[in-house]
Amino acid sequence: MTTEKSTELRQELKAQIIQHLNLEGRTVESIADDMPLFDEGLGLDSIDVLELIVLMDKHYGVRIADPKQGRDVFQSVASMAAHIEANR
Amino acid sequence: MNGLAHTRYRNGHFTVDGKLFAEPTGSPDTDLNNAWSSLGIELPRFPRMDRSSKLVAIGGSAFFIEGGALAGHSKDTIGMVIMGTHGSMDTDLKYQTQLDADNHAGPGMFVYTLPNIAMGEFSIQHGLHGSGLCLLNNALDLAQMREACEILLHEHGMESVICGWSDIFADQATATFMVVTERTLADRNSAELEKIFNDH
Repeated sequence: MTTEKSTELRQELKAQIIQHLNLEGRTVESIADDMPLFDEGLGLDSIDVLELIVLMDKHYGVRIADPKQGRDVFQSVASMAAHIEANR
Repeated sequence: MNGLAHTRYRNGHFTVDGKLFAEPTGSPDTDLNNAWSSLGIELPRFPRMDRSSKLVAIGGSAFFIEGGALAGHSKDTIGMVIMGTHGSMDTDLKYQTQLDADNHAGPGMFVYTLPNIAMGEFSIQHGLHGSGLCLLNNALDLAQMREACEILLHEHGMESVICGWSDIFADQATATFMVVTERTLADRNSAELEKIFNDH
């Protein structure tokens, strides 16, 4: 179940992703919570992942310790938000 | 027009084979974005690329659009020779400025702090697997560029080479790219090639 707080976090994350990754033409509304961040979704690449890792560390104090963990965490905004909520 | 496929960016004017492709706006950043839109190539990373990579992407991609000099060519035998003065200095300084201000700089910027990244980015974008050379010089040295192209053509099995000058720093940007083959190099002396680089 999605709480109001986690909805807020997801919206905040979408805005930060757009700003940090300079996703021209993208709006918060155009990114679904479960939209894949890569390939056919947002079209992000491996360099963008590095930016997302820094974003999570800098803004939420959450680090990705194991590279394998990254695959699950960076599937979507929803998975990123879940990881932040569980670890901050 | 002298028959050699070429693109040029001078004083905000982006031309393909001498024809104006995008109007100047007075801002290199806006010019680069407008020129890219004019080419109509899908590349989500473009807005996040550094300016040097954008310049190479624009100048080189024009050869791959429909009807372009390299459209349909084997990606394994297209080489690249890019020469410039500042290399990645434009991005290096931005990186250092960000580092000084925030004690942190984004990895997305860090990856562009090498002069040859623009060529690498371009090769990934177009799936090129050929050989490449990135040369830093105070000024255009056509003899050296010609020699580098000949090495790629004669010793590395390249059938064609995208060669050119690409330089961007602060609010100054110039670029000229052309496609050469063994035949076009044999048919043209350095003075003819120089004319392409220097004609505004």
